Amino acid sequence: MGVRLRDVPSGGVAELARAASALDASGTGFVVLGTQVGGLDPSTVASFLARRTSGLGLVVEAAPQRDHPYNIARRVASLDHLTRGRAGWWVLSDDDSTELGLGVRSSWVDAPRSTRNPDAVTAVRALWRTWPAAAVVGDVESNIFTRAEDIRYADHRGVFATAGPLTVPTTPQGEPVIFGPGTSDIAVEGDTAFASVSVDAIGSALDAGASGVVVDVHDLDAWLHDVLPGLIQDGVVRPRRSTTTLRGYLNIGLPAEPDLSANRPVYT
Amino acid sequence: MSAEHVVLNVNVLDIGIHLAAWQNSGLAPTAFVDPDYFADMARLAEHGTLDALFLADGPALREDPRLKPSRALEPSAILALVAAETEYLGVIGTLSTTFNDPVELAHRLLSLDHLSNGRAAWNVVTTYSPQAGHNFGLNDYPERSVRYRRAAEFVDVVLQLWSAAGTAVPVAHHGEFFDVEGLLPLGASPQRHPLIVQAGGSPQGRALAARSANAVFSAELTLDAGRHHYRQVKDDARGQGRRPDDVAILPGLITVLGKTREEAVRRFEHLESYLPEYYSLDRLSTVLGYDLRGHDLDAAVPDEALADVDPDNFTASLGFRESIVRSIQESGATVRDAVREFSGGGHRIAVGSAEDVADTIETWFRAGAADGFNLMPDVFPSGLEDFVEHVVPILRDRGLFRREYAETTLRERFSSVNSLDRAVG
Repeated sequence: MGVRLRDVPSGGVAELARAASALDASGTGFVVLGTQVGGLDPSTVASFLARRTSGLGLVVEAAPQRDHPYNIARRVASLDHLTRGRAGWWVLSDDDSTELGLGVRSSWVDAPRSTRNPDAVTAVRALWRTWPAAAVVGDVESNIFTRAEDIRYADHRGVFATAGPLTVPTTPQGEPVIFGPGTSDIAVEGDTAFASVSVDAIGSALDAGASGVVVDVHDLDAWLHDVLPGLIQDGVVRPRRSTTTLRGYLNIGLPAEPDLSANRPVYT
Repeated sequence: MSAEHVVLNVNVLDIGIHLAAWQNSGLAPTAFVDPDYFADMARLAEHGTLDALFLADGPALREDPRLKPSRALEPSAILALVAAETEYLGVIGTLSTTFNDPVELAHRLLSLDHLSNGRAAWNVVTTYSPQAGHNFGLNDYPERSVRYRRAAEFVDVVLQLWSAAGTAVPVAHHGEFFDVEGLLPLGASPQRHPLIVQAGGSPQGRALAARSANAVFSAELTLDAGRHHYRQVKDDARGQGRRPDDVAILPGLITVLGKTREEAVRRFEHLESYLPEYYSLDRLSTVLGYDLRGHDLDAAVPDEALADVDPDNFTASLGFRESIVRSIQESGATVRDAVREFSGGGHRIAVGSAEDVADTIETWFRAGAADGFNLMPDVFPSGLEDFVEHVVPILRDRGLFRREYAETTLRERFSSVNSLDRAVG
């Protein structure tokens, strides 16, 4: 169970940090950070909050309309390292909070969002696997820092094209968790469906078979001190254990695909 | 406290600028992606009252990962973490105008400026990297003139968006590359908006620096060349109606420190011993356009290596070669000295005791060749620890560096740079 803060504390950065650390302590699973979080850029806020939280999942919105998949892959992978495995990417269709001339057009490609977003997800996931962290050996005896034969090109050619490799080795949770918001539910890595609900509808959404919920929270104090403790007491949701990766909390294993082992090696 | 002091930033370049830094850091191989590593270096820099932490970058694997760690994590992400970890330290990130969207970048950096309470700066680069081009689906890399036209318009859009954040008057920009109308969802930061830093010696880069940069990150090898370029940038700024003090000139300075000069030389030679045979010698040979292999390391650099070259048939940088040749001719350096002196990839390298390094800094500062330096320690964390512990106190005792932070925003701190009593102009 995660939350999306609808009314951001008005006290600026300090207040935001206090809210995040209260959510962290409460056992809330994750928080979705959109551009409405005090008007601040979500991935930058998340990296800042990495040091103010210890177990809270930090899911950041980013739109392939506005930012290229290489940049998104790199920033979210960086966040996963900086949070030791607590990062997620909420695939935003349009960067509608900043209506700055761009409209629904993309900065990078000329394609409708119906094909743009799925292709960006494929590109990002391939980039995330180009440099296996296990290849970083730092062997002082042989002076080999990385066994580079394991680094592969992504060679993605679709709506977007990106060769790779990513500058970032694979991350603490294998790869960050992807949230794909649809019209009625949120696909978490394909077949797990979360419901986007108000505080009043959590129980009924879970009864109806949702794997989890993302709750719109308008009153943070009520959530922390009243709603969440009640839900936990009634056994409706389980609190997050203190230290776990986001993938561990959601109990979602690492997908087998994509397998890049047949791709071109970068260093020969 | 204000005024008369040197600006000192630390460039946290991987685990250190030396190729053999990772074997000599005492850190785990994964430190280059570890949040604690960056948090520790940030706290150390702030403990030494340094001006800012700087990150170089480009969106492609740059160094050969078989040999060393490379710039991995995205700078604005690292710097947001650094901002959370510190109170005064400036945070300066390199972000490319070729591989970003100006609205997204303006929003991200203004956010960092808010999160850091007014301590952020943007090092503007256009990036030349065919690998980065391939990462963004570009088959043909945009040529230099196009990159710089885009960069000029990009910076213009970003500055308009930042300035509109203060006035709330929407931007209406329609140019060759971008159409932007509206406002960012954020107000002005405590220092209004991030500072602008420019790196690189091209004419277009210099024009940008004169127009809008608060600082210039340069690469200088000799005091003469440093003074020449210093005057040039200050004059250009004056030509744009700005005060010379509005733009701080900060060359890179690689430091290799020891308790004594001899110990520093041993440290340097120990690091060099990890390099593949001929690595540094070949690098100098390439710069000179003359193969130094087989020459006696303790004899003077041969005259043939320093003779004029045909500009049409010389592929490496002519300006860089000229500066090195002049320096070798003046000093009569041996091949071994020259290899050490010029092993910094275009940046000056100081191998010596804390006194020696403090002397270099003071000499350049007083001679009007630098307002300060971008420090590039050979190896983290020891190179930065030694600088903070041994060089900073000397600079403080000489009245050249602050004992505690006075200003909270980076803009206030860089504005207090001035050049009183110095041999400028």
